[in-house]
Amino acid sequence: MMGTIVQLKVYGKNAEQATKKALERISDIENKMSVNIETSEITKLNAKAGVSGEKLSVDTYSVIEKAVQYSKLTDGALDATIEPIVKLWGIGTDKERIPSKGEIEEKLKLVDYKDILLDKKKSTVQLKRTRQAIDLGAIAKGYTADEIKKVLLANKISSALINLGGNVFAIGSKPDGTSWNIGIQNPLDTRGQYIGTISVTDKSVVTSGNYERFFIVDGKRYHHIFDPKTGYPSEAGLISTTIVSDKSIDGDALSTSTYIMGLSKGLKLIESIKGVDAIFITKDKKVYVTPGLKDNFKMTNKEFTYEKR
Amino acid sequence: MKKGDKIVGIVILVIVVVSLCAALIYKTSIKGTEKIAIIKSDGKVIKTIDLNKVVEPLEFTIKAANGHYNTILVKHNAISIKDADCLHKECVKSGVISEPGGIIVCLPHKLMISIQGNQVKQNSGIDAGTF
Repeated sequence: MMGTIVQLKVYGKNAEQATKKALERISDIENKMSVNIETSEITKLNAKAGVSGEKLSVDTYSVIEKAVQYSKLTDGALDATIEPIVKLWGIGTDKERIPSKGEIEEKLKLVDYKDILLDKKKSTVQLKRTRQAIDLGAIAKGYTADEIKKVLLANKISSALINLGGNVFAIGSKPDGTSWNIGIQNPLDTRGQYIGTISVTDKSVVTSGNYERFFIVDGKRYHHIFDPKTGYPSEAGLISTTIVSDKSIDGDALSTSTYIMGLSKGLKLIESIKGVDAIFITKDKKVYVTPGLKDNFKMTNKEFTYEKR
Repeated sequence: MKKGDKIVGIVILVIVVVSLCAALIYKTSIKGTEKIAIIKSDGKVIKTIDLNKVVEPLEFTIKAANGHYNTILVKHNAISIKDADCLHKECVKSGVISEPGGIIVCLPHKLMISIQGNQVKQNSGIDAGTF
């Protein structure tokens, strides 16, 4: 969750109180799951890799459990044990660099979600081998958005907009009863420039793209979405994947994994899951929209072509 | 503000800087004629400028507590961060903001610039954007 800006628009009489509670919940989750906080449950779990298990809160346990479910569903396109690769590249930190092939091969051996040993009864998780480590970056923001929603609803809020570092969760409808209009970032332009909009009520809208965190060497862009099978930034032909779903944790996991899976596998996966829709943008500026969004998505940028399905 | 708004809602807009890195320009669907730029350092307001009243371009530097700096450029109805010594210069890349609702953030230096104005909602506007 490092480096995100949280923006909450909360409407209603109880807005101030509800917002305060929501912010407390955010820092609670970050303190449990951040790999950048030394006392977090994830840091402790990683330190005990190959040695013993770590007893986890319900929050952290359920997020890891969900990550493993998605690893299975996506045949390892999403893999929470990617941390050694993320750390090796250091994208977004002052240590970012292109590692050698040997280094990547070395670290890639540590990446395998099947080595996450879950014990639900004891609420413990252990990593099988030493030096393995978990990074929940691909899914923790989604979980946080879902939890913020719970807090707001419990505090009698029926209309709110959560923006967690680009992950949008529209709660209810606008105070005037109309739907929320959500802009879909143009992956080839500066932030705030959209390729189009969708209008939603009570939905999570999450986008993964190669344009948020990256560095460029010799004209080649190295971004932060790694393919767990290669150890390199994913180059499957998509430059942006947006998932519209009821739960943000699903949107977060699916936007990352479909980005890595590529267009045809990604579309197939999304169309097999009920209540989930997607907008995919390919390298050659083609936009693909699943049937559930067909009448909703409004394209506003003419540089892109809309591929009917 | 419409009459009904007062009854329906206290609107709260909160921006929380969770931790390091990056910056953001964020446009909400607010438009107005009055344009007050608010510059906050580490959560405290350190300067407010009515952008509507700016005639001559103005440049100044804000030092963060950790010794780092951001150079801010103000023009008529526009404000931007011209230079900074943060790692990725995301705040500089954010470009110029000129409408109420626009925000530039430099997370490493805990600096935030936002524009406030008459909060008249645009019906056709975009409420939020993914990124």
